[in-house]
Amino acid sequence: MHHKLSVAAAVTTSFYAAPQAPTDARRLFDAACTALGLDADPPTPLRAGRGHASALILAKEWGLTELAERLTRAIEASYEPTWDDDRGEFTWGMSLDEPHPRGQFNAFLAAAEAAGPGMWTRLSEAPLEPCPQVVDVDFPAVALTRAEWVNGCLMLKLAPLVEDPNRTTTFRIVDVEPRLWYLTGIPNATMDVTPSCVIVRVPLVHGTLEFTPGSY
Amino acid sequence: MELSKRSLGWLRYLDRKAKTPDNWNKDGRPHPHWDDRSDPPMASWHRFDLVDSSYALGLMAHRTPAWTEPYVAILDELIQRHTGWWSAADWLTQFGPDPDRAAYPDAYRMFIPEQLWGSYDVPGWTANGIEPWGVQMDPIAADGMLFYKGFFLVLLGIRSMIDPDQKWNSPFEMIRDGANTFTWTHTEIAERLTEQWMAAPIGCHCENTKIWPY
Repeated sequence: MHHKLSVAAAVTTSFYAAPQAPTDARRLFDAACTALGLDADPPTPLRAGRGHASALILAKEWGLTELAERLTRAIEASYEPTWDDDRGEFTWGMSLDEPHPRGQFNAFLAAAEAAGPGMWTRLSEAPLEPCPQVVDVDFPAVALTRAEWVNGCLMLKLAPLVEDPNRTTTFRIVDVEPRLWYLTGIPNATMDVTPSCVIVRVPLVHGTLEFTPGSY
Repeated sequence: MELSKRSLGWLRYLDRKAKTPDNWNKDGRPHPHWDDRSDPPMASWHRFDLVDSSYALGLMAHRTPAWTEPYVAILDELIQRHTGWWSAADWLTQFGPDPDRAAYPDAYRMFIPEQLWGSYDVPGWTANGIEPWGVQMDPIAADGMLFYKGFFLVLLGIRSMIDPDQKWNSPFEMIRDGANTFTWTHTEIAERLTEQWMAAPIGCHCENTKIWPY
């Protein structure tokens, strides 16, 4: 026996189908958005749930800018974005007045925050391109909001939870060629090049580090 | 690409949540910050919090591809919990037809064909043990429980997409309840599900007797 549901339920189906069957997923998604009243600004507050967040992931995935903006406005107005400044933690209370942020709904909202054009598809399409990695970062006290190799240079953006230019933090860069490297961008940052890795010491400040190859 | 301030804030929250010790074995209980409340009756189980949380981690890894360490560490915590008894608490406690069939709330009417109201298990009731399948305590080997092994593969798959170390292709134990201890690897779980799909092109059961279109 087949049991029929509202096409609005396809907002979930399309989320999982998008990387595998994008054309069908898009048709389902468009129908679901219409059924959910997303052709215009939806009435707020939105009911706590995952549907609008998964719709936002796909709107960003497919570059549907107007829809993404509409969803973002409604989510901002409805889902109680909340900072814990001491811990540097961000969650959505969703107006549920619960002792812990609602995990499943927060998970979709966090995915929507991190989403971008084509990213949901790329995640399942192929493994991340292997590259020399930064390891032993003192997370969560220290984080990197940018960490990518661009034309042979490693671009790092340091984001300590608490800035203190008189203290340093240390991390390693592994699997890099043992050659001359330059480290620039944050004053007083230093490094030791060893046969197995590069050890970086940097003051606990916000800033951008560039790790650039020199001559052999 | 970069991580937004909010993404970093949520990553810090999930890191603390995932690294707070708790016990997902039968004699334990998941910490209350793991969500077993959302979207009943189908998704109101702790494991959905584990799997859903992995989506953002995979996306964030693509934003900082030279720093995947924090995502992999959290994913390992999520996966480890998904091997515990509590990850399959529905399958391991919901045997036979639901004794509460006649007392479902009206909100469940949308999930149940009208003519079967009162004599039909709501989606979410896994019905382990009903014929012709009988009791099957291993949720991976079971004929049903697609939504367990399929979403677990998503979780394992996201980790494998951002770290090639094959950690979860070494045999690991699941459920860990005496005789009900089962050994699997990531690849073996995928092979098991492939077998099931090949044998039943119409689809595999999530809850026994129920096949979903995704």
